[in-house]
Amino acid sequence: MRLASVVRWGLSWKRGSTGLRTACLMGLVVTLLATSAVAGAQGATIRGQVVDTDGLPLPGASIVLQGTVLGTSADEDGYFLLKPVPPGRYRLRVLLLGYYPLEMDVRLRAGQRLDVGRIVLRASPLPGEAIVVTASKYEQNIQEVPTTLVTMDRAQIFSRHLVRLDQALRYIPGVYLNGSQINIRGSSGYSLGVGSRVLLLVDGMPLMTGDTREVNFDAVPVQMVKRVEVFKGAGSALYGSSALGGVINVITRNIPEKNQLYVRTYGGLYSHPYYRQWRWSDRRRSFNGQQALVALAGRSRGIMVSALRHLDNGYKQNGWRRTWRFTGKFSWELSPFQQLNLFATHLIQKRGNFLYWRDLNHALQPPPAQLDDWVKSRRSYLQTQYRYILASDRFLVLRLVWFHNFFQDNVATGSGNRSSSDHYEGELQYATQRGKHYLTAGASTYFSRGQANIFGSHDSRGGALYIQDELRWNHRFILNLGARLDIFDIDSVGNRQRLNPKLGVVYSPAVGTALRASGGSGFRAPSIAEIFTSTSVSGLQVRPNPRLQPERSLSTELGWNQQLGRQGLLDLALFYNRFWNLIEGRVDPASGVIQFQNVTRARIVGLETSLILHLLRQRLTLQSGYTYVDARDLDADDFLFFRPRHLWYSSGRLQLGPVTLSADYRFISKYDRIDPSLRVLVPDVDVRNNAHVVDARLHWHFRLFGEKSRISLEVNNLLQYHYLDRVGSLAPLRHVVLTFETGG
Amino acid sequence: MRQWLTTTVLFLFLVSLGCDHGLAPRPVSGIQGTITFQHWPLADSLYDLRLVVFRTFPPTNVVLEVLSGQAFVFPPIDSTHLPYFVDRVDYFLELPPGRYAYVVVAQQYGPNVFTDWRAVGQYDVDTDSLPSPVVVPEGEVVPSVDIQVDFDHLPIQPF
Repeated sequence: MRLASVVRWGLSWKRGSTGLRTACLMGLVVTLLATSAVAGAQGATIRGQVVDTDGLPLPGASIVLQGTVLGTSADEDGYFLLKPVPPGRYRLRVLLLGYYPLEMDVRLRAGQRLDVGRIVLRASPLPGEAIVVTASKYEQNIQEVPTTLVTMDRAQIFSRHLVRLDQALRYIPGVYLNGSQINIRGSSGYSLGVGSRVLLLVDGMPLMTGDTREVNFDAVPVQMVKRVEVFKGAGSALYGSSALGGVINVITRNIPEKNQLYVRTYGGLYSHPYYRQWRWSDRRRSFNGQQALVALAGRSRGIMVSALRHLDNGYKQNGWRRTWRFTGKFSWELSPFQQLNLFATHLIQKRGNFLYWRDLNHALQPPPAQLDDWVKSRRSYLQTQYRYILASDRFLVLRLVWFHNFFQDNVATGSGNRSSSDHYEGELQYATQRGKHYLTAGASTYFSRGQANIFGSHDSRGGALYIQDELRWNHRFILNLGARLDIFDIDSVGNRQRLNPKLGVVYSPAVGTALRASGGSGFRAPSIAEIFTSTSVSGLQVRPNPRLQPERSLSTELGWNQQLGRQGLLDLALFYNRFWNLIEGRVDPASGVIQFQNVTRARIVGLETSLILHLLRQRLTLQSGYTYVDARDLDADDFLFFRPRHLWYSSGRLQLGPVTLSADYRFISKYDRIDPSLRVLVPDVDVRNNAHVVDARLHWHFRLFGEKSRISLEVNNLLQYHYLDRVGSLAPLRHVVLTFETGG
Repeated sequence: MRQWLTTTVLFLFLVSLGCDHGLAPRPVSGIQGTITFQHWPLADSLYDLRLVVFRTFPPTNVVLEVLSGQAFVFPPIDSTHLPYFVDRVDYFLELPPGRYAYVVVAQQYGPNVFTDWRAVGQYDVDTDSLPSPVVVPEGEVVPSVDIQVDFDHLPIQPF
């Protein structure tokens, strides 16, 4: 039976509307039943702390068991916990950029909790940095990834006042947010969120809405994030649809070994706009929020729950927002070989609907007809992940996901728009290390159903098979190749298939130097909303288009990663990407019809460089990243819409005893070209400028009743610079935030 | 260290004073006046009613010129039309500085938003049948750009 036939068989088997739902539930039940027999048995664990010769913790250090698939990384205090580990003898290896590696032999009995204590690393150049998982679906050293991959850890996220994940992503070089629509190296423009070209994952599984296939950052529980990995290339060879512009993978925290309570409360004030003409309220606008997290650790089970409340009056008229988010993670060590994780989050939100300004002279006010518009939404996400370590050199992971979205607004006449969608997805992954080969293979399947008054009720389903091999030819040369076959079916549109290969090479000619080259293809299946939407916007008719074809991309990159002694790291990347069949909403002036169409071929070429320096005995960290993107619409022989050509992000952080000072500067050049058809909707749509944004922070660390505590004062947009965060929308004004937090 | 910090803070403060503040509102310029109405038609032929200002005369198409930024409308496109069955309405329309050859009240009389338009009243201060131009200086509002609409006696039809 051919590969395609296998996937087609899978599709036909679950063609019924509840097929996959039933399969998901059955899978969960079978998993629980199959593992209950061994529940109660204990896996071994290895814990410890990685520090330098001065006793300072080394966050991000990689801890791996040589010759196995087992590994982890140290947290912000240098602590690590590696589990579950089958009994046996291992060689433990600890790596960190700028330090000599350290190795030790360990012997583990069933259920043993081995504490290796403090592991002291001596400073010296060496290849290696944080462990990442997004590039290959298993833990690997970041310098061994053939495509640019950037990480942002928990400490970096929490050094800034963040409620939503997109607020963190805007500090990552090469990443730009058009409103809440994410753009990596120019892959995306602005399409009101529909059809993202960047795939958002939580612990390796998609968090994309079933009907619009958009990224929704509200649903991401920032308070439970361990780190965020941003993969800057086509990722469809492993992750399928939507990954043609890049992949963002949110790795959630492990449940700590000890019980923990964390509390945070904050409040902030927006400044008045610099120009009196823009003032629409005499009162200063404010926001505040509270967050609590409780972790209860057991011998083989642990649970962590979190709640967040965020109220924002908004600096724009009708820009208010009220958010409640509840998140939980449950971890159960079923046996020395098996671990079950359940992760769930539920979001309730109501907000004013500020779509765009009245005009430039009323930049903080919506058109009068939109003053009372609101949107309320509920989003629920449930993920089950079962990991079975078959032996120290191979493991199996079963992942199941359900993502439910509901939103309602009062924007249209009558009862407004209502939409509800459910997305179910399952994946089985197998990985093994055989000599020089690290082989990963898997199968996945999904079912989505969207119901809305603007596009009716429609289903989407698909399946995929993928395989990847990483060949470590010798200590200097790594070859990575793989492919994924996706077959998908969107209601009446019919079956389609895409095969996406990838190839990557990493060559290390000397210690601390890595040269990389990679190429891969990507695709994005059109969403239910893009194919079937039928509504009216400002007198123009939006019509369905069942002939929409998937978008395709080819992404290539050459890179050089150079360690600069112990003090720094330089990375340079050149990229060349081609896109075909890009989908955009276009207005036909002759008929007055808006329709999503395959309209554009594009070529994006550019370079990206980043530099990190650690000075004054690691107390001062300077970081700078510059990205040049030349994004051309080949059909129009012009720039692509809504892409800034230059991005320059810099930051500095200085540690002075219990006080930390830090600042960020971001430069974003103005769009070279905007979509002229938006003139019918947005007044002054041609207005745009370069953005210069400075954020500054002061943190004071202390102990309160023995608990780590912190008071932070943060000023964002310190220079009170007015710029656009998307078409017809002024970015946040200068605002001051005071935060108190205590606990783990 | 304290001296270094003070210098840094002072430097940042001076930098912040020296910076501009990005986007700014533009000085207001435009036209204002009164539109008077006579002999309203039946409601079923009133699909839309707008004041439209064109840079050139004759215009080609109301919607296409608005889309291409060559024409300006009051009330804005995303707002509701001019009020129906009233005797008069005052208006103010912000416009970029320049010469505008044609200020007209346009009625959409049929369902096709691109083609079903006709002129029902134009700004005209002389005796010929052609419209009068308006020149809007930078930062100034031209007053008394008044228009009479008589649905029984329509002006010349350029659409």
